[in-house]
Amino acid sequence: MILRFNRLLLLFSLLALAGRSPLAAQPIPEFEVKAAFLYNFIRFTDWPEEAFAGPQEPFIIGVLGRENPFGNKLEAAVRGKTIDDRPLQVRFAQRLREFGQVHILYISSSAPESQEDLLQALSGRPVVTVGETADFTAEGGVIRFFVRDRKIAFEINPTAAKRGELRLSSRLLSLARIYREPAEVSP
Amino acid sequence: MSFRSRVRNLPIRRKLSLVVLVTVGMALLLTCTALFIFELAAFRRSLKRDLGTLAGIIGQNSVSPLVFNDRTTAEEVLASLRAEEQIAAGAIYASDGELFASYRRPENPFHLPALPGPDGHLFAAEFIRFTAPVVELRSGERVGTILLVADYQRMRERLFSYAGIMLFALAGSFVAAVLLSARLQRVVSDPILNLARTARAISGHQDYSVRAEKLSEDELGVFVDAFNQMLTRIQEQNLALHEARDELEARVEERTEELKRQADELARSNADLEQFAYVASHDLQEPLRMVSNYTQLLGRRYKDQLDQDAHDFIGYAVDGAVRMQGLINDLLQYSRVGTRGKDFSPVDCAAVFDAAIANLRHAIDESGATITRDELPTLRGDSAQLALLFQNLIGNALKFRGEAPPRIHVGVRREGEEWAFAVQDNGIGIDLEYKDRIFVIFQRLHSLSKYPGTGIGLAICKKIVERHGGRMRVESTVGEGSRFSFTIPVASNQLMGHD
Repeated sequence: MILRFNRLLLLFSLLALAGRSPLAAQPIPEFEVKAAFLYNFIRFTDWPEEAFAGPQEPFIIGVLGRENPFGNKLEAAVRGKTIDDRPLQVRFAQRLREFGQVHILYISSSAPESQEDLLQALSGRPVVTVGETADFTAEGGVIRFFVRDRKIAFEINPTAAKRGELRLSSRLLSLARIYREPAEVSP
Repeated sequence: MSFRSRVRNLPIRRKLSLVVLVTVGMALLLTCTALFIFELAAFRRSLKRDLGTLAGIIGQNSVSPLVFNDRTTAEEVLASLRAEEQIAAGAIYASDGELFASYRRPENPFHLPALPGPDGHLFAAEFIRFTAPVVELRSGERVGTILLVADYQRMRERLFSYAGIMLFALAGSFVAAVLLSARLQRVVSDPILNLARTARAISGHQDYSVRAEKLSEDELGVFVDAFNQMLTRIQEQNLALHEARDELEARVEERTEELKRQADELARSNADLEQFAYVASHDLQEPLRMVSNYTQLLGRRYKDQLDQDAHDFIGYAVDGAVRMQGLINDLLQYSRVGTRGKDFSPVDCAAVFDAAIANLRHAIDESGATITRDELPTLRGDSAQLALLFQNLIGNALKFRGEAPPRIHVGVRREGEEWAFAVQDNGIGIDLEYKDRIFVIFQRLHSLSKYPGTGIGLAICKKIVERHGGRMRVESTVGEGSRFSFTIPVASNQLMGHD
């Protein structure tokens, strides 16, 4: 199962490399790759103790927006898997308050609330926010997907992560483009 | 010559040096080989360990590039292998087995397989290939495979330098062993060579007074002591032997002298005795003739005045005188064999035989005897005595004849250095109980009335044979005949003629 997933991921990566615009022409493969990335982000991130009610509590992957761009790809990507012996759960919601506990939150551009408000509300909480808009990290988001050399890449705002007491692995950081917040913005 | 016997014949110094060198060489070779093997194993072990460590580090650094599909970063991670000089190549494969990123050392391009093999070590002649899973630790998920290839270049270099050092050590040790053994082997070889020199000196000059020098208190020292003791004993025995020989020689000389003296004495007394017998018998004849003559004169002159008894008595006296005359004649003849013999000269036995037959003609004709002979040889001897010998033996055979006419044969046979004569008859024979008595002077076996004679014939025969250096004996069966045999040496000793 793991193998099959990885093979798919690879296949789509290769297709992405092949030259067509991954965002427009290949929506489904694109979100399959992003689903795998979301899962992988969890593997390279440490949450503070209080982010979990107990040792066996699951990782919650949240998708916020009016529609779910992943379809069932996200559930397929995490089904049967555990990280640090914790299972993984996927939740969809249109509004932030509909989530209880959440560890990584994909904020779709179709979310009804304003991105700035959402990020403001989540600032300082141990939630890895993931978005796609150009000013996502600048507004305090942790990880932003973007396309580089026709491949899906990501940008990280380590300061935002630090605010939420999240520890991102240096290995993750070494693969990412780093967004540095201006000095006056940092607390 | 084989290698073995060539080694066996080497001088002991060389042998000792050889032993030392072979031993040292073997020890060094074994040590070097062991070190070499150990080093090889250690190197492989450390290479294996290093590969494991490296694969762990590189693998962990490859997790994030793998899961985020970042080949560039993966290549960069692999490029860090450049610092590891024994790594020839490295590769990361995705979890589906596709080659994700690779690294090859520029100067040693290594062919990387398109797909990773099974996990673990693969030892080949030229390289070690190590394949290990790349696992993301928190999820425990295998996200790929790492493959590292190490070649033996560095190991080869190190082993080469090792071999160089060992060769150097080997050569150095060998030279040291040669120099040391040349000095140290003297501890063993000097006493042996010393001993050998002593032994050579002794066998060369037969000088047992030499002693080997004792240089040590070990087994060789014991050997030297034993050797010296042996020499002492030989010396003592030699001395004793010389003394014994001298003593023996002296005794033999003394004894020979004594024997010679006794023999001389015996010969002298024998000669005296024979002379005495001859003189006595010769001188006895004269008075006996007087007794005989005057008794006969008395009988004639007083023929009428004497009665018959007186005549009988005179007759007895004359008989006795005549018999005594015979005895004296025989005695004279017997003693003449020893004292009046002639010097030896070549004698034709056939002629001698004929002379004897001529003397016995009357008795032969009377008895009607047949006398035959073999071809008789010529030999050195006294012809008169030999004639007497034949005459006595044939005469005896005629005299002691049986009922039938006598048949007498004189035979001869060469037996080594002697002529063996035999006179065979068909007479009355002799009881062998008496065979020793018949050769003794005046010994008779028969009454005078039956066979007249003084009983001196065979005694004379024996004496003649002995004078010629021979032996005489008799074989006989009573009633069938006798065989008198005697030997005469082919080269009769002239000296015997004088005795």
